[in-house]
Amino acid sequence: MISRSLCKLWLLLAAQSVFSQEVPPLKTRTTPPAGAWIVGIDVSRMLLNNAAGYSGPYLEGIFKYKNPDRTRQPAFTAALGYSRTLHKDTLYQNMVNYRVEGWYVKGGLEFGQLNPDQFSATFGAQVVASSFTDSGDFFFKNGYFGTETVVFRRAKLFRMGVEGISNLYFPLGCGFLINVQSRLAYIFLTNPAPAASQPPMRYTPGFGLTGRGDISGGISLQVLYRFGK
Amino acid sequence: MKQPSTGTGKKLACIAVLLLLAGCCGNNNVPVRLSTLRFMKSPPAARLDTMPAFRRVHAIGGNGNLADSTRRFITALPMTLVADQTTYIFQSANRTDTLTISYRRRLEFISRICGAEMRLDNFRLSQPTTFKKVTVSEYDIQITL
Repeated sequence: MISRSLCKLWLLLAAQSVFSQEVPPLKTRTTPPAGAWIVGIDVSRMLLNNAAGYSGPYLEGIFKYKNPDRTRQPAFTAALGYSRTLHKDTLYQNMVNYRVEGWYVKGGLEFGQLNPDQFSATFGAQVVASSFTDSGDFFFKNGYFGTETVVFRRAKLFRMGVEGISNLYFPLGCGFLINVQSRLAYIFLTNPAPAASQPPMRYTPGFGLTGRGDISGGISLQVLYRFGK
Repeated sequence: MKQPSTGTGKKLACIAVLLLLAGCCGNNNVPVRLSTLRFMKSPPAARLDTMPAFRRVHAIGGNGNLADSTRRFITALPMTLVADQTTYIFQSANRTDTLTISYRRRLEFISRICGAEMRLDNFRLSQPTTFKKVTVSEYDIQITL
């Protein structure tokens, strides 16, 4: 009888000790893991730079970093580009062969859920700095001397602006993804500022078609690859 | 009274716009140039009645003879736009003279439609020049022989 009671007591204590043990919480993620490093190139700029009368190489490398453990933190985005563009056709009444060559850098932040494994959308802003040279051939019908060509050239031009961007990421699998980026830029600094008697800077590396105004925009298609998780 | 049709009105409006655009642009491909080359006799300083006996006057880089035996001066003296100076060669039966005029070139962008024009100013005498006395002003050159 005593042994039976002791057995019941032991079972009770044992059960209590088992259920009173602290169960470690399950590590769960409410959002899928975000990619750490993303690199890529802008495809559309390469193609568009050889369309609509323009020709020449255009290379833009893209770098993005997203902290995988902090999904709410903005992603860092940057780009480095080089452009050499030639517009052979008549740009103004007596100007042909408009040439632009230069480098540019971009850097900024992207907000939103950048998730390389599924469709995601982000928006952000970045600063753009462009250093370039532009030139063109003005031709004059100078009677006695025939048609003469005068080369107009501006060197060491620098422009800086801010660019609002929105990104739509489409995963392709195997770490690759496509980004459709819409952008609208405002150029707030041009050095040296062009005089009114000078032709406008029709094209600015990193910004695209600009003209005399300070606003530029467009849509880009980027192919990206994700490293890590 | 018959009213002009809408189509005619549109055509007239188009022609008016084209004329306005042409008027805005002007003849901007033709540069502003120093106009006249005159020859003076010394002494006294008086204009020569006839052109000196230069059988050929030409500018380096140009095409054709600028000399005209029926005139006492050369109007619209041409100047090249691809350099900051133009050299003229004067050839007569027994000698050859040289005149060089230098100037400042300024490219002036007018508009997208009109393009740019080249303005020349700050004319001055340069070397090589073999004429003894040459006066250069904004509008003409006087060579005293």
